[in-house]
Amino acid sequence: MFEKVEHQTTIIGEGIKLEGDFSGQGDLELYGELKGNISITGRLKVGPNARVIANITASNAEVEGMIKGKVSITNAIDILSTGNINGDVIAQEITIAKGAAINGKVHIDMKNNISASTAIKPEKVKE
Amino acid sequence: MYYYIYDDFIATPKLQVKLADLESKLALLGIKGPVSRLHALTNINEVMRRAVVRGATTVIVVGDDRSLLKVLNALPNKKIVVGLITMGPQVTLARKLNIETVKAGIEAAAGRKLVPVNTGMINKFAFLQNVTITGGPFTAILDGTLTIKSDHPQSTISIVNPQLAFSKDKSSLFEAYLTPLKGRWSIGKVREEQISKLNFGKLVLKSQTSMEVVADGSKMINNKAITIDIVENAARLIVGRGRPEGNTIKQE
Repeated sequence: MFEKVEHQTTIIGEGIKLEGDFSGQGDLELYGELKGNISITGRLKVGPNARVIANITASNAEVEGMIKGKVSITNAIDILSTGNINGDVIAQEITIAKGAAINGKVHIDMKNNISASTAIKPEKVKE
Repeated sequence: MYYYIYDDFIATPKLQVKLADLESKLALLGIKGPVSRLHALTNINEVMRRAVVRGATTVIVVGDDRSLLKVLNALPNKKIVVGLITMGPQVTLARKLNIETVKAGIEAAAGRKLVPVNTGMINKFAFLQNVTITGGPFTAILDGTLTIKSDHPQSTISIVNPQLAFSKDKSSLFEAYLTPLKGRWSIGKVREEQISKLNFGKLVLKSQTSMEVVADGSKMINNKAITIDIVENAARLIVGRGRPEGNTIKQE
């Protein structure tokens, strides 16, 4: 009758700086700054004023802010017009809006061969 | 064995008739037991120790939310079951446990429907529902691994136990909401993107200015450093019939 569900949403607001490796089974919404690594099974949202210096692994992503690091998405990534990714991107589907910027390799893997072995291992990202 | 603890404010003449009525109903139900009355100089830890020595397995507090917290902070072990019969002004917690009235409390005590609850420990003080901390700028360490720094000169951190709150995120971890406080001359409301929400098992909080801390309605001594831990299944509480939505507690 009462289930213990581990899915959680974490929100890092504007003006907040996070340092360290963030991992979990839920979604993450970033409007502040994060340095480290992100590994989540849920959805990642990077807000327009957010700044992320991290290698990222997530199931889906929506990017409006700045990411410096490698991005590995199991399903789909949407890079909106204010999105800016400085690093390689791997996903099953990629949508890039007009005005978005990517400085790195883009690998679209429609057969969904993105697995634990191909996912990016956590390592420190050089600023 | 049932053991009863009457909080100090129950001793008023106004409540004596209610108390006499309560005691006769407990006797009829066969759950009457020894009574300890608290007053200003009572050491609650000593009262609980004596209750255990006398063989108490169930401690029923007659009072309000604050009374229940006094007993939870003095609980010698997790085996003791705790109940509440509400007679007092603060009933928020009692409402969430469906024992808001004296009648509901008596029926719950007799029915013994138990739920294990997590408590939070804020600098060795146990709380059940929520803590509000005002101060800043904050630096926090989450679960020993993540460091969080806030640029906001003043913020409020609200910590909530989702077991006793109507929270969509149903987890055993506590939730922390960090909201910046607007300065006197600031225009406009705090935007949604400025509010942070985190789940944690342990939080170490430091502030450059003294923090104002209110835990379950009680004000605590201001500090510049606070540690908040979760104690899982810290106590077994008696609850009333029915269950509010959003509650994740499993029945025993």
